[in-house]
Amino acid sequence: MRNAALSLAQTPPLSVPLLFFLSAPLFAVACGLILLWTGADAFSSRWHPSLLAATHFLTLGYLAMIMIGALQQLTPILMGVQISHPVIFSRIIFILLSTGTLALTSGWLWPFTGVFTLAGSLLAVAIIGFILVLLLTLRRARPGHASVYSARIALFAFSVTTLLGVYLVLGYSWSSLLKLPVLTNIHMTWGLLGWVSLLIMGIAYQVIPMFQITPEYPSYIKRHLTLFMLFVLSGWTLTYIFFHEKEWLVNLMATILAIGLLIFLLTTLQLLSKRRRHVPDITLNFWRLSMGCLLFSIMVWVLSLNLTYKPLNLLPGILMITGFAMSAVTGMLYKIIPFLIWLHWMNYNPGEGKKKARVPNIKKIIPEQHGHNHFRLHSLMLLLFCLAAFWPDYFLRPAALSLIISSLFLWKNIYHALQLYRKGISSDPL
Amino acid sequence: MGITDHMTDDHKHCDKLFLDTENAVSAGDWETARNAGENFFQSIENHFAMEEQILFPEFEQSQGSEMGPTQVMRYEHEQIRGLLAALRQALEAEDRDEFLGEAETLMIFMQQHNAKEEMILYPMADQVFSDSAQVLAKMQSLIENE
Repeated sequence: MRNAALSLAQTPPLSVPLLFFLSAPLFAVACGLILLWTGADAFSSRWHPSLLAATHFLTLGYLAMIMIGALQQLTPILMGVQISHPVIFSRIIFILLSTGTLALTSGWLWPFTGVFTLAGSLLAVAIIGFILVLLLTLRRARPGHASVYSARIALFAFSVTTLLGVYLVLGYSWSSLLKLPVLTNIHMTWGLLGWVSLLIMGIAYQVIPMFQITPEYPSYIKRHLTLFMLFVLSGWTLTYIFFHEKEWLVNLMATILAIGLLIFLLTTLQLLSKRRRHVPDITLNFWRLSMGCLLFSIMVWVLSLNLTYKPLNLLPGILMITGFAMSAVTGMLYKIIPFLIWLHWMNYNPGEGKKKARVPNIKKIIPEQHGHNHFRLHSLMLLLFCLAAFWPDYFLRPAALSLIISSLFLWKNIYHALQLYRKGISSDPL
Repeated sequence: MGITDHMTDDHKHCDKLFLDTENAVSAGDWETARNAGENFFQSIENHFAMEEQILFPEFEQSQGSEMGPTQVMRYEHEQIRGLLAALRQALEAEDRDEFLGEAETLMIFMQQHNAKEEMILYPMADQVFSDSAQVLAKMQSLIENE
């Protein structure tokens, strides 16, 4: 308890989260470059090496990168506990995660199977190491807090995703390992419906009522929905492995998972409609877009159960990753980054006898218009990727190009904010 | 009702007054905004007074130290006061963009400050005070006497 209290004062240096936030858009650019280079062929099959590399640039390089950066920052602010030695710890995790992601994707792009062993080892150490340290740190947080609880469950799902992923990549290097396409599907489902969805749910419970001034999520959702999802996900996995031939049973479990997500997204949209703030808010736009994509993804998935039409198989995944997850995470960046820069600027002490210039408000650190312009580019990118699922020959390259432009625009917004801060604290005040 | 519940409700009350002010500015209704703003500034000062004059000293006494969480909370109160002064200035100057920018900053800063109090400090206070109802009564009478 004493530890939790004392850490009220602690917030890691700005460089800890910003290193992750500034690198993530560059990995998204890499994803766009691969798709631009490969063209329509990348969407010819789920197993196309370019598509696998592109997907992992987004899931590991963008989503995991930002989530890991943000968790190191959010735990002291929202949960009152801080990881010890934050700077050195974050640098090690960053190096392992980024080199691991590059090794993994280069394994698919250049047929050089030895690199998969390296990729698997780097990513396993980075992600499992991060999760263990974070879980140990969270033990010091006050119990019973809905976000801590959901974060733990999401981190467990992230571990399952990672371990399965590592096993699968080792299979590329050592052919003696059992190759099971079933495992790939389980890896993907735990990643998207476990880790990504549950972490976004846990964060939403905390930040939506807090920053959008909406009513709280009903307590049955806050307390039980994440755990319920974990149980059903485990049930689905067992059914999928042992009763694979009973398709109706596997689909039934998947439908229950979809209903869980539906409850979350409909509640979120309803809460957002009861928002009592009337000023426009860029994060609100991203949340609505994210929930809309999740809804669309579930609808397409239901259709794909009843129809055999190839685009319907790719579309739910595209909508989940670039629509639901990327939008929610990017929207959060527009709340976190200006605030962190403002906070560090406020707390900056120019030294004895020196007068500090006035710190600009949050809307001057990243101008609203820049956020709105990025939102438009991001929405255009989503639309083009959805069209690319149906007509890859016409739309995949434009979609890839729009991802590159949109990500560079985000990078520029973050970088400018950081430059403003650096200039502000280094200029000699009179 | 313990300290946690009471003070959390008071945060919600301040949030509501903040929203009234911000929504009025957003709609360009400066008359309403100035009145709502006065209510908001007063409520927040009352809230700070209850904490700085009663709750924090009692808490520090029970811990035998002025260091620790209350020190951080006092520091953040000063930062909030700085933002309130900027809001007041923008209200007087009827500068919409300036007001909304400072308001967004205050909003995020105040919410993370409240979260720390509601999730860490108040529950600790409820736990360490032998009679938290009495501390609560002292805080309320302070406001009524003002």
